[in-house]
Amino acid sequence: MRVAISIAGLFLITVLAACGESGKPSASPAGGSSAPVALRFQLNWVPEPEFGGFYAAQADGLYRDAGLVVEIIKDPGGGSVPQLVARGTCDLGVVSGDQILQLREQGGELVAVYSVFDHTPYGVMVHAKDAPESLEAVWKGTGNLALESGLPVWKFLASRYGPTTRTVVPYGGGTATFLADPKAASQCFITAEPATMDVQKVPVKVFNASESGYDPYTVVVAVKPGQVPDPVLQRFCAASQEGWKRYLATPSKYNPAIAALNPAMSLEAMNAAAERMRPLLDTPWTRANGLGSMDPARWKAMAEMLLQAGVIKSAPESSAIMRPMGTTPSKP
Amino acid sequence: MRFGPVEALARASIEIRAGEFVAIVGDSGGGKTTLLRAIGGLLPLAGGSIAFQDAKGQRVHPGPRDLGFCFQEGRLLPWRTVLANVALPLELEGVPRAEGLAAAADMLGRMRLGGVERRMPRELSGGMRMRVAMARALVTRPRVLLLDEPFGALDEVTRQTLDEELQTLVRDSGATAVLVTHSIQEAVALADRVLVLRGRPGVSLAPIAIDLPSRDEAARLSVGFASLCAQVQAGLRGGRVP
Amino acid sequence: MRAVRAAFPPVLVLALALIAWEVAVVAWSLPPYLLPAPSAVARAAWSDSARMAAATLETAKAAVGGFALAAMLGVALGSALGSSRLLQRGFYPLALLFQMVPLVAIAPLLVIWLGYGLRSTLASACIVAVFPVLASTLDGLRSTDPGLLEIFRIHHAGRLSRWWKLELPSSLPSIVTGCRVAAGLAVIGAVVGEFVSGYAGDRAPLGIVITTGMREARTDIVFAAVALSACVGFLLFGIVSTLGWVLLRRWHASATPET
Repeated sequence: MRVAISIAGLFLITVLAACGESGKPSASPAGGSSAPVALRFQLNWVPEPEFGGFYAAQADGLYRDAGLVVEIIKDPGGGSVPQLVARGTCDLGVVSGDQILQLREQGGELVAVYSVFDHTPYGVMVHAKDAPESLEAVWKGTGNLALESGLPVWKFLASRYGPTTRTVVPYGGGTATFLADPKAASQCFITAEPATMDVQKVPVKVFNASESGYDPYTVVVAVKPGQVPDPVLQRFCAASQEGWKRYLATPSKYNPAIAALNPAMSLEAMNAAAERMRPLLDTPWTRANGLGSMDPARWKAMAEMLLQAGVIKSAPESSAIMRPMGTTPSKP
Repeated sequence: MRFGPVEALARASIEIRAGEFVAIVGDSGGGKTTLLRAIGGLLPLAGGSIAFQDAKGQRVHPGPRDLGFCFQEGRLLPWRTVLANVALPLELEGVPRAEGLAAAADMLGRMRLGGVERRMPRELSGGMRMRVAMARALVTRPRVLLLDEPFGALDEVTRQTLDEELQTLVRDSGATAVLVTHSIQEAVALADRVLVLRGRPGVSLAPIAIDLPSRDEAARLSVGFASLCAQVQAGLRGGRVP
Repeated sequence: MRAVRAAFPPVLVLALALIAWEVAVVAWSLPPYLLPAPSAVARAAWSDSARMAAATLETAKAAVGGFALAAMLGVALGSALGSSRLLQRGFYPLALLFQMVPLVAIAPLLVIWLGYGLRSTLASACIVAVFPVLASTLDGLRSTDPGLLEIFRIHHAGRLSRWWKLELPSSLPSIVTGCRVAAGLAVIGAVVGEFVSGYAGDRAPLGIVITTGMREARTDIVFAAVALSACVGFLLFGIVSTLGWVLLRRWHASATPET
């Protein structure tokens, strides 16, 4: 009886939500209108240096100068930002590149317009003492490996190196278990765990996931096709790019404001994180093409790799899942 | 057996002889139950004393086996069979299980309750439950049986039947019985002496001897019986007690 | 076959709800990531049946084990508190703490103290399920018929004797009720614990199936896992109820058939 009621209730709530929010575009159509355009920008994590450039753009009034009122919404970790963007609940959202592909297969359409990182910030972290020599050696080692089940990168590593011989435990409970176990390995995000270890003066070795050949655009800004008019998108991306430029130049100038929004991360850790992430943002590609820009060939490669690893059933064209900055996105 | 004065209730001193059947009647709220409970050691006394004496006049302390209680609600354990309920007093005393159950079965047999050994209390009628309660009270062969309005919740016919059974049981066991009741008829039919507790709270405890030529079923219809009842009634009203 | 007749109304309601859900998904063209149709959920469970079955077994181990431990602990602690007014006043508020602290906050600590895997998921199931049993035991003990207590006093029964032969049987109906509540909570506790302590791989419990499914935007898998954990809950609830019936049917009104 209770199953029936709870299923019925769940179904009712979801249907009402579905009927209610059908993604009406919130931004005004004409590009030259004098009224500032409001944008709801949903982050997929708490305020951190990985979003530094956006906060810098906010702080320096760059969005305002571009005729935009950007509301940056933080996320304590619910994990459903792709769905929120696909429903139109928010205009823009930060998602992981592979999530765009996964969501496609479940009926949700998203398009990436800006990528914070040029190389993936995901990796595996081990203690520096007696550390293995390579990512593959870690993967084929013994001991615990804390990772987020369901992340495509691990499926890819399994398809590339074979199943891991480590005992897989959940990731996300904090670093206490990693600290206590000298043989432990843990998934890490460049601005998070390694920075925390730096601050705690714990020597670690970080293997970037790209070592395996899988290097997706992670931390991308995505929109639902048709949700935000192209001129507005362009202005947003341009302002964000400038914000990122300024952030990378002097992160310590903007980190205090971010730290104020996130009491769980110390200013010291944030500064350490900014330094750690720099080489992943400031690369030959981005120097040539601008911060935030994306290479369609790499999107295509990622789709192929995920197809190979069995994460997705079909690899779409890169034009369906990303729009380089400045190009007009249109419904396929 | 001799009882000393119980000040909260009466300023008289009462003596109850071994093997005697005494009934206590009085107004409700008068303290009949309190008196009974004091005798049974269930209440501490603020003043006065209750004393038990053996045949030689020596003071004795009643052990757990010496007192049997019977309450109006029966107070059987609902989750135990009739047999296990009757065996309870022996069990709590530490008597080995087999022995206790055998004694209980014996008791039930003697009361012609052998057929309900395996039943649960809730399956029995009110009257049957009271009989089981009596069996439990008697299973330890107590020297003193204390009954607090045991049949108060039953209908008149059942009540009389159980009165007779009680009479037989007490006589056969030779125990001293103290019965609290608000039925004058019952008191006169069963007791050797009726103690009339007057007042609310009770302030005087006057004994009335019951001399009846016979105690059989027809006794209740006799003239002597009626006059004794009237006597008790008068005693309750405050008239002279001869 | 009274059981079959009794099951008919809720099964009918469930069937109707499922049909309505399926129709709604089709009629409104709801995307799978938002609300999968029951047929999609069933398909997700079926196509991955080995993994789902193994996961259900893992979660069931934690839930049943945690519940059993909680039942014993709850009765023991409830009896301990019931034996002394002083103990009660001192420790009951602490016992309430079991109830109040959110499991999601304790679960990571359990991993640190007990390690990954069954030990901490069982512990989290236990923690969540203890209080209802404790409270219902205490309540039952305090409601013991004073008339019966007197009978035991008259016969000079010892403390242990009194607890075992009078107070505990007398509290049984109340304890069974508490256990019914605890059964459902134990499953929730197990699944929440698994979010942070469950192993991935072929021994992954339902909690991990859920988190993995959420990360992969596979709402159909999430629903399938949730439905399976509900089944575990139902099973445990059924076991508890049956046990309760067996213990009470001869003497307590709650367990006897309606006349």
